Amino acid sequence: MEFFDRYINPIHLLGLRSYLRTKRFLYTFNISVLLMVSAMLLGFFFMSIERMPTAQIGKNLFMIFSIMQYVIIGLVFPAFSCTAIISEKEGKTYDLLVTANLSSGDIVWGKFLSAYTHSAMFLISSLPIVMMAFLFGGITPALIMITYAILFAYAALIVMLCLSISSVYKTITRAIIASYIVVIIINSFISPMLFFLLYDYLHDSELARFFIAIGGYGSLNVFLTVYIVPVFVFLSLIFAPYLVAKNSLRTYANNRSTSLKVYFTCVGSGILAIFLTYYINSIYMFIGIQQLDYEMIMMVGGFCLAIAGIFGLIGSLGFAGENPVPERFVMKRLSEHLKAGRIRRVFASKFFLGLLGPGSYRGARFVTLMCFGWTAIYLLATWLLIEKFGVNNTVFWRNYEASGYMEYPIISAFVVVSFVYFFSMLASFLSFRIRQIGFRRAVLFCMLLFLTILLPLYSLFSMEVYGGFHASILNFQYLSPSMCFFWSFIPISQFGGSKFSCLIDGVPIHYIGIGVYFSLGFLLDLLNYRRSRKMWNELEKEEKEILESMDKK
Amino acid sequence: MILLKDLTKIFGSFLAVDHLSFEVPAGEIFGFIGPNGAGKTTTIKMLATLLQPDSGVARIDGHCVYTDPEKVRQVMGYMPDYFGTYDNVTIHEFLDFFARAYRIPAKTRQSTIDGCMELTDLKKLQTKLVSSLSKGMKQRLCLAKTLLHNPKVLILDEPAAGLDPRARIEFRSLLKELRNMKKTVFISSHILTELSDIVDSVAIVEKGRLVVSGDLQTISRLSSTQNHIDLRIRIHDKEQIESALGIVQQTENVVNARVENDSILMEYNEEIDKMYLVLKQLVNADIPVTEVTSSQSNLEDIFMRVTQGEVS
Ligand SMILES: Nc1ncnc2c1ncn2[C@@H]1O[C@H](COP(=O)(O)OP(=O)(O)OP(=O)(O)O)[C@@H](O)[C@H]1O
Ligand SMILES: [Mg+2]
Repeated sequence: MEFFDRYINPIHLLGLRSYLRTKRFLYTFNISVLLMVSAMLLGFFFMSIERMPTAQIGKNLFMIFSIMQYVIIGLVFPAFSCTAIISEKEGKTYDLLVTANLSSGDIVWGKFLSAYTHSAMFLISSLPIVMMAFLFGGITPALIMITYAILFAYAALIVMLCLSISSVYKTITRAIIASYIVVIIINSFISPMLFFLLYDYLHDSELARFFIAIGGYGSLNVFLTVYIVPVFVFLSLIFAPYLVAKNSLRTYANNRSTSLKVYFTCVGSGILAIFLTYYINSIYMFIGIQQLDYEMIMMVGGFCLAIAGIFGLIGSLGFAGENPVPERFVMKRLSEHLKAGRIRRVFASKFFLGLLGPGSYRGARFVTLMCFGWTAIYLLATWLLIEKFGVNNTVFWRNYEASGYMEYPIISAFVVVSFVYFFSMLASFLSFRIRQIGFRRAVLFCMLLFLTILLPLYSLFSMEVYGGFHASILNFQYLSPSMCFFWSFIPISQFGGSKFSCLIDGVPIHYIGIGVYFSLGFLLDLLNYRRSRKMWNELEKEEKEILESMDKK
Repeated sequence: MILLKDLTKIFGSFLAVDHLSFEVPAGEIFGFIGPNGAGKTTTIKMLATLLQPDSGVARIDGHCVYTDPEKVRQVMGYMPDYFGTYDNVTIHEFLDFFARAYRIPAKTRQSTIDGCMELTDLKKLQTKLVSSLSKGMKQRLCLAKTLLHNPKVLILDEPAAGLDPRARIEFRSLLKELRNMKKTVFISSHILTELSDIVDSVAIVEKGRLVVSGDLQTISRLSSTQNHIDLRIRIHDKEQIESALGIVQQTENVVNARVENDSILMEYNEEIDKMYLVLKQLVNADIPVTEVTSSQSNLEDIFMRVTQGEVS
């Protein structure tokens, strides 16, 4: 018990203690359960009048159930978190929390946990109700499990989103209004989509192929695209509002943006790309009752990745007033923690990031490392899927196989990493002079450089070799390693393979790319290193002088 | 223990705290005095790591509030001027929450909470809901939570505001107890006299600037070297009061002479042993003086004199 006691977040505990005692919670809880049960009973009543087959009744009840869940998530769950932080500020308890040495991360995480616990109670309480549908057949335990996985992930996202809104807005009313507007907009996009996914899966109807656009055939693929992707996307998107909330709670402005930048660069961009591509394709199909053809997907993917690239770029750029944290300082802190046996603190984001993060320069290195890790994970996963589970219908891998260039995945991973390395080093190079240059001008410069020189240059090579517009669009993929994920969801049957020949034949060009990007990146890295040392030495000297003058006094 | 050097805070174009420098020795009770809007709360918030200083340094127990806020929070207990509490939580749970936040290990947590409740006389109330407490009890509760992690330094922002006279006296004895526990207490107020019998030193600020700082004796000596006494001279005959005023006004070192009812009030910028000079003038002119009262400056006067009374 004592062991666990150390890991209890005090805010979480307090939230549970105070909120579970209110009548409000009891009422909303009971009313929502009542609503859900009555909706399902009503549905059952009408369906039994129509003498539907039982399996059909089961499926329909399950759908009613999921609609109700999305309604409850959209209406009730924001209430748990959309006032969480602003009410502390308005209630004048926030300063007490901060001076009690609760970090901004502790506060956000504790608030999230308590709001999420309440949400989870709602979700779990619906489990007996869904069993009603289960009795009629037509749905499988696996489906129920996966639906709950989506619901839990989606609820977490909504709760965290509202929490971040509550940390940004200055009054309770505004936070509530903003939360509900945002949630209603998001919910009106996402819940129909999730609903149609379910509908598709349950009914082999005209709509059957709507949302399995890139899913293709094979049960694993269907599961991947239809279910795993939303869960994956929701869970990874949670970090963005988390970091927004955390950042806005910091007392001091320095290094405020580092973790957010890292997120945008590494995760946000990739997730955004996948999600937009996936979703835009679904909409298109819904309107056109026909799948997007491959070129369209590429266009959309390229567009999304360009957006992702911009995010990444802004991410790697430092902001004025950002201090580089010296490694020595971080190492000192780390060893202090290690000696005192505070292992958890070692992995606390601040130190973890501190080693690689704060200060745009280290941030840039960190970005590179993340990309490398990301790509490595992807390659490993693909390899496992093919070698161990016998799934070999994803584009990314099959093309390599067909091409005979088995080293291609490794090479393309290196292209990605080297490009990111170069680009983030360039951004951090600029960030050291950000005061002189100005943030907006720096972004503009990078964008221009990227759009007018680097990308066309690279594409030119590709076009030279393979010709055509597609080649250049394809090269957008080098902006983001997460494009690799995107490929893995495209079954090989959806295109002839011919348009991908550029990928297959393009090995030599990539060697050049790797060489150029890495050497340029390394050069910038050296310059950045010198600069950051100089800056730190100055800072240290300044601090020393102040201390000395105080001692004299 | 607490050290401020050129601490500055600017809100927009308004200079709220202007290059404030002073030092608080360890183990002292230190009064931080100033009129409304002097920048006391702003300074305290910077010390409590809640507000980013625009320039200057502040250190508590050697840790810089800006670069080492975690360490500062570990050695400092802060009680804000206004604070809220949570609904549906009992006193014990409230303190338990902060004890957990300070990462007091489970083994010692209960005894720590008990100790703090005893010190602040909350033990009997521990199952009461926090939201049902009166202002004075809340103040005590906040003090109890401030003491949980056994801080070396206590920073209290107008802790006596809103307390009834009895509670004030109790609060004062609590402060003395804290002094016995060798804690450094930094306490802000806009009434100097309220603190005069317990503080060791004070800093007086106005409009964000330091007016004077040091221990109480030094400050009162400082102001008595200005040779300042207030005189009130009662005169029996109302007819002669005008002529008496004329005589007084002519006397050296008398300023601000004025008539109030049957008396003449004045400030006399000399030592008390020179007071007879004023009287001599009056007696020589046959003015029937019935009563003379003099008052040397007390803390209130020091405060009134050093501050301009302008509320920014
Ligand atoms: N967040 C803020 N934005 C702008 N001005 C502020 C802010 N906080 C304080 N001020 C201004 O700074 C000045 C000092 O305020 P502060 O609260 O520190 O005074 P104080 O000495 O604590 O006064 P009191 O005795 O009334 O508590 C005031 O004029 C106030 O208007
Ligand atoms: Mg104040």
